[in-house]
Amino acid sequence: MKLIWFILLQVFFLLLFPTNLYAFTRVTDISLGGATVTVGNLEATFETIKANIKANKTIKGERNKLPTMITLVHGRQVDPTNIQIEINTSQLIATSKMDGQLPISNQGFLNAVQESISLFENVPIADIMFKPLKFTSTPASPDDGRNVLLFRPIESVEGIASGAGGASVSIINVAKTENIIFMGQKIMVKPGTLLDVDVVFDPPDNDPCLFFEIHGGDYKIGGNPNAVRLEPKGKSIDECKNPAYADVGDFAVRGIARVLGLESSAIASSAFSRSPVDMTKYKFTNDDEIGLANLYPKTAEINKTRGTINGKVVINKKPHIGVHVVLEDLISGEPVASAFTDIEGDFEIRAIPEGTYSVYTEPLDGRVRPTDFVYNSFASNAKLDFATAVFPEPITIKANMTTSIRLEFEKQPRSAFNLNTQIIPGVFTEQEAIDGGLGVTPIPIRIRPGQRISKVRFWGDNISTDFGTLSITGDGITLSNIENEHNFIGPPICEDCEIDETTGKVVPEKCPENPFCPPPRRIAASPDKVPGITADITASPDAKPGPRSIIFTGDKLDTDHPSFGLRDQLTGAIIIREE
Amino acid sequence: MIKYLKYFLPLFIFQLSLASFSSVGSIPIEHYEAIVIGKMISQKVKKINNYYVTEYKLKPEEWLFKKTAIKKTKYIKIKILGADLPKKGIIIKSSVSPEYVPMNKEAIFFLEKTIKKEKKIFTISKGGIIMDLNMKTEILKKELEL
Repeated sequence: MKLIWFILLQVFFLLLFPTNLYAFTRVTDISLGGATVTVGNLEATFETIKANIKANKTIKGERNKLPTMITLVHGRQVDPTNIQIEINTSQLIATSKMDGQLPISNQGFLNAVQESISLFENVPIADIMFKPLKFTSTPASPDDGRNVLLFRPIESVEGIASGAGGASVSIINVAKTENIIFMGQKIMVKPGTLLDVDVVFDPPDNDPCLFFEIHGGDYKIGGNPNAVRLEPKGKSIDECKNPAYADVGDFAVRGIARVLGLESSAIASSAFSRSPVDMTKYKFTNDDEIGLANLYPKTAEINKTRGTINGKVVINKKPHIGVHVVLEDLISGEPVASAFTDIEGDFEIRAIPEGTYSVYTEPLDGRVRPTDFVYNSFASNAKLDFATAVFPEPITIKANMTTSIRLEFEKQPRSAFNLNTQIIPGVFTEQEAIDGGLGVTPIPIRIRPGQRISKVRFWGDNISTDFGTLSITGDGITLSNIENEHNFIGPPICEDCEIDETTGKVVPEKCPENPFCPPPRRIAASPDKVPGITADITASPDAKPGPRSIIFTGDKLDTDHPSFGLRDQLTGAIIIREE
Repeated sequence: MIKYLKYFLPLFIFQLSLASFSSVGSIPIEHYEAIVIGKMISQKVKKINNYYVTEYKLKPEEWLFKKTAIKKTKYIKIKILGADLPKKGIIIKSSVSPEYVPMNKEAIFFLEKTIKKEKKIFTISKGGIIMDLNMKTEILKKELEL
């Protein structure tokens, strides 16, 4: 009986994943009769299927039968050459004394969003076209069939946290089954159809001051080096506890990506990555274009110069879900494209430029994590119990051909390294952290040809010159003055300050001002210190602009040590930008 | 359990800080109103101001952390933006909400103030639910070995 169930389940999976098109990170969902399935409830789902099959034997009529088939849902626009986006700036006003707004006209907003749309439309390997932009004053709603970019709504978007989560919320309405009820009507659609996508910039009552602005000039690799921050008229940044600036173009790029059914990329250098803080006027990378082409391919164009890679990742003889598979250009060192494996350990990336690539698999246990992916079932359910592994041979991609590989390896003992260069330790000394509060290192690190950046900090488990070597992929960029340093890590633990019994208030002397634990709380324990490395990064004057990765390889240990030869990397964590 | 809180709580918080991108920084511990182990026992979808919100009833089994002002209650009301509407065949997801909210399954929940700062109602952000309790056990074991 168990064997029968095993075979049945295998058949389900075969039906489940007829195509393995998971290049880039896109909106995917796994469901049983409309209910979400995750790795956490997979076994329970199988039990439900068993029970439903049994129950269906006594249920008459196909319509009344209980669901027995798991379905995979890909988010996608049903008519990608006729997409309407609407802009709502009607509520873009100061709502508290902490708010400010740079003087941007509606035409300014329109131009910035239109410029971002052009970025998508001009990808030569993707078939996408938008209708002319239009303004609206109607509030966003996820079931009116309109894709709205809404700036600064007055009414609250309920069910979200106060003061955290950034300044942008995207809300998508996806069909999970063929027969749906939408806008009051019963209609038939392909599961995964994006029915409505709204992106709300700056939910009300978020803590920071937020200033929208627009930067002129062309899009460049690594952002606009001439971008300057403007002081809002009549406002001082000093009035804000934590001012945040928002470039309309940056927000629009992410918003449009959502409208098209794209999730964030796990490659830090990508325009769709979650990590960049200041990406003003940023050009699309290969990863962005390839991701788009996998969703909306311009087949004739792709077949001329581009090929496909597919394969399976098997660890300890079992397929692994959520493994980040990266193709790195062997010469330039650029992370060109990536994908997540599905529940069967399979992946496929189409539209890769002809060339020779190094392929590696990495867990989402570093700068990018499974929780960064709300809309991609495979990434958000990723297993992390393995170390980075590099495919032993370089892979050659040829036009209109498919290269298949199988990455099979034994699980390494827990990776000794976990390279980071983000959050407090990346930029601050301990004193700077206390003086300046919480901060985020701009990732990717941007460097111009001929430029040198000093004392960049890297930290993490066993990140030390005693254990391994730090390096950057590709030519034209070098590391020097590499030194070990114990860096600061936080945030610290806070506790309530003592209350004066007579006044009922905190005693100021015993409750000092501190950005981490502001009164009436104070620091209870000092933050830990972890090992790290500081290094100078230099780009040669003739360095080719584009993304690179930073790697730490365990090569200073005894060759018998389990971590010898293991590596960890920050994929796309540095960009050589255009002058 | 609670005596070990000082060991693993900072790790969780820091992991969440890493996980949660924000243009304004990472999430300090003060942001959370409470952290509990418990089960979601019921859910109800409501439409509020054009947006779909799912209201959950959480039954706490263990309070790992709570702010002084928060009183322990038998049940906790939670609002999360987004909704699964199987009868309509659609799902409404939000980028700031947890990717999945388990029903009737033990998990760790990081409770936050809602945008309206309601007194007895909380919300949970993306990454604010840890379902794999083994992860907690592993961290505890690791800390105890040291």
